[in-house]
Amino acid sequence: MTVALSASTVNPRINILALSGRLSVETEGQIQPQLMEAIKQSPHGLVFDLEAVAFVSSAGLRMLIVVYKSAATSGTKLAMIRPPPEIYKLFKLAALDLTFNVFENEAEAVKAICP
Amino acid sequence: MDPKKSDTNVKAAADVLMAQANEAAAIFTQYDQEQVDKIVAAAAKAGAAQRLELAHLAVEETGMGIFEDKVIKNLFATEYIYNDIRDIKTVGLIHDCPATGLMEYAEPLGVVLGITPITNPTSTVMFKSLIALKTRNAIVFCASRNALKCSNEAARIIYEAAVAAGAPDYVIRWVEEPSREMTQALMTHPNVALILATGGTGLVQAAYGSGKPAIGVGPGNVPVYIDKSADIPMAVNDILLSKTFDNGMICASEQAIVVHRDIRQAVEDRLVSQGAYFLKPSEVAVIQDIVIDPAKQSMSSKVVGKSAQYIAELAGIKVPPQTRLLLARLADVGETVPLSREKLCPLLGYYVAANLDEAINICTNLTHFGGLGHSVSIFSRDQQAIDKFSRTLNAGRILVNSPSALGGIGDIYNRLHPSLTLGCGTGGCNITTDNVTVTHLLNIKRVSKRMVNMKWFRVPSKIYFEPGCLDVFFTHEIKDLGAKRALIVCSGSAVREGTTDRVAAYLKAAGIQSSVFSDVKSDPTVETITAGVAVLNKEKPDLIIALGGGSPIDAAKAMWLMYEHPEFSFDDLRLRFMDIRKRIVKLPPLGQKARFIAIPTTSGTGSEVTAFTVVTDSKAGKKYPIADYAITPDIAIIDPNLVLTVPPTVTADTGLDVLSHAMESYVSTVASDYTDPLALRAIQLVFEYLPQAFLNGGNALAREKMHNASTIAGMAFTNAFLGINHCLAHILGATFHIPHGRANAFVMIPVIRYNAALPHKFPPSPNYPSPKAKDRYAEIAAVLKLDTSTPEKGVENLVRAMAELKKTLGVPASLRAAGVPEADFKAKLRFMAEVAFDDQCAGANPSYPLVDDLIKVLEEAYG
Repeated sequence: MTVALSASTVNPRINILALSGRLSVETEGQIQPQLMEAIKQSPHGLVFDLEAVAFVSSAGLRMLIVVYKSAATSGTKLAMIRPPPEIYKLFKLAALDLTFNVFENEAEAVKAICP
Repeated sequence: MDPKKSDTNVKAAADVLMAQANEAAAIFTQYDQEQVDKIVAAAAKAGAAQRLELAHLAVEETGMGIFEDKVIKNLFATEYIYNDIRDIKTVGLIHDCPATGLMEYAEPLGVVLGITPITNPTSTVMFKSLIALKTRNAIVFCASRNALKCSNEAARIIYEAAVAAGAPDYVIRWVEEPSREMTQALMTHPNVALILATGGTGLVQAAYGSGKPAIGVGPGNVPVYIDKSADIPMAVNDILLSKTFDNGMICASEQAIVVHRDIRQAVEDRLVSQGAYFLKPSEVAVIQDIVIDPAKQSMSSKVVGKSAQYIAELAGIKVPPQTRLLLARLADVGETVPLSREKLCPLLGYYVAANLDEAINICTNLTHFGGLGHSVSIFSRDQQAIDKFSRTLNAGRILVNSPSALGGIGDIYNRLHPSLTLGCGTGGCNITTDNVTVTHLLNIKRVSKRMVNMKWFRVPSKIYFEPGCLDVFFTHEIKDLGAKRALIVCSGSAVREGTTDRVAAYLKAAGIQSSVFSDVKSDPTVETITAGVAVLNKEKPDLIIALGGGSPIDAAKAMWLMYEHPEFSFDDLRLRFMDIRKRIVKLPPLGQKARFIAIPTTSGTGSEVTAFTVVTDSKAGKKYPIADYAITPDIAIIDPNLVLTVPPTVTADTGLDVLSHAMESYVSTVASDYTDPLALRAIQLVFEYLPQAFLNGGNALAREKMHNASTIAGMAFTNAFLGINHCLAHILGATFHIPHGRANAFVMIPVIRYNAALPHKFPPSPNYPSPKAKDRYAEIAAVLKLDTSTPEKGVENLVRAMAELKKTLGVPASLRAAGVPEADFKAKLRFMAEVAFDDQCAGANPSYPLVDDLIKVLEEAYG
């Protein structure tokens, strides 16, 4: 799993964190601090771009829940964009699609976070 | 504890289990077949490896059954189950059939709730775990309270191995503190996709009553019949093996022996020699209250899975030390005979039957008393006895010459799917009679590709044409048919014109005897056909020659059909159908008794080459349109010399019929490359030669071309069918006595306009993917060399050309102009539209007509 942080082209105050690869047990340890760090660097909001995520494991899913909870505590707004259909379906089955604030594209997500 | 608090705790515990399982099920949806198979293999291996420990645990905890047999069950639940499911595709595309265009994709169910019994605790848990893993489902176990430890240990072993092989966390969960409330909370939990319940009747009924999809399988009451043809040593061996296996705890194990009287003694001797003990009547009276709880009217838990010795002792009965099985001679089945119930221990009821029928009836009684739909068993070497037994008894598994316990669970003694959950069908209030396996834990998604119906093209195998072909045929070709006796079916006019005599003379010269049936009038009736069939039956010809206009040919076709297949009724034959190849009433091929030659003497119906005929029931006032390729004539003779004297009005009317045949088949939803050239050529010929034939009947070329056009159009429409033009013409003709071709002409222009417009309703035809009638009419206009710079112009110019043709032929422009009284027309308008709607010809029309559409078309035709 690799991550890349950049400012949103729609609203530079919002950051985009592009995740790619498998969000699974082998990677979750090393990724979680990076996600937490990204949240810290994104006081106005952070959008996870999941376009290149291939797989989410049990641990990966629970890590995302932890990250969302932690962001809620610090008051940082989070959203997700472009999950592949298999992963969007997984969120839907786990009833997490609303919790994760999922959008089709960056513009919609940025607008929702920072109207 | 406060009951409310306890309820809350139970609900919270159920929620946690279900949330975990649901998450696992969600994660599991991403797995591919390879990952799943790796997990299942690891889980099966781990379960098999722990077979001894789990067997020990089960015997220790439940105090039931036999350690060594439980080891076999644990191996069965892992090794046999794995072997059965290992190569089954359960992920993604699992079947692909190009021939049917069907593809099947597997979708997991989600969370399965597994209810497991005390009788087969560890094996059932492992079995259900494996089939759940294989299908990417999460499973939550709710084990029998008295087998909790061993059941949960089995679940844990499988779970840990699965997770180690990459399965999602929590993919197998289990209830640590079982209670009725917990079971209820789980069964009704929103996250549960399916309840897979194995156990007692109460639990299974609760599963079905939960409102969740459930596969619940309950008790059996398996009778085993030993037929007089049975291999007695094998039968006795198998029954002993089966009924003592794990002390009789498999629900498919035998509960009563029914033996044929003729071999009774031999069976009893053999049973005793192998360690069975026949209880004395006084002993039966004692033991029945021990084995069957008199209050509950069901087997007592004290005896389930106990040995024969133990049970005898419990009843204070002294049995020989080698006793392995107890037998109670019973005279009847029912509540007054407690031991006729299911008893999961080594005790069997024993009945003697006078014959096979009585034996089957005893077995019927036993299964109806308990365990209907479960399993029955027969030992026999008489296939007829086995057949009768199988036909009669209602059981999901009918086991032949094998121990029913090990036979019922499959794969060891037969090729049933191995399973520890045996469906009992509706007899046992179950959804299936199957041995439950992976196929029951998948939602199958069927991807159905659009398929077109196969088309066909059928016409007579020989069509002779050009002037004088009749004479050439009958002087030369006729001999090749090898016919001995012919019947000429014709109208009075053919006789008057001498054609019949001419044909009869030719036949005589060819050495073929012939007779004539000339009593065919216009619109042949059932009476005419019946009279004709009587002649056929009397004369027994091997050749039928239909000579005349449409009516004699239609009549002869119907006669031919009834001659060859007297078992058909007109009512059957006229039944409306959607697809000629799927119709309910199917005609076998004709030609066993006679071959059929059609010789038209008008240029209109095309009946000489079509698969259609119409018979009128004058008494009922009904028409029977009969359509079947079986009635296509074998030979058609299209000799224009026979139509030279047709009067001008008939020429016009029949010619317009030809035109409507060709037009309708060209725009039909089943038009094809095979019919299109025929339809277009016929239209060209009509426009060019019909006016000439009408204006100058002696124009031999025009007559010949129109005679050809009629048959060519017939070949088109017998394969591409017709449309609403004919539907409307049929009822208009019948209502106002308008000749058929003329009736077609009256509606032709409004029909073209209606069909060319955007359909109000599309015809349901896979071969016709989008409306194209407008373009098709424009193509007709193009063939007629009209202006088709736009499709709309093409349609309009075709309409104009039609109007002109009608004018040339002296056909009034409208029904009003033809003198149809307006009040009469209006009064019958809706009725006519409704009849036309239900006409067989409507099916291939390019626009599926609404009754109101047909009313508008009729109104436009009225003018």
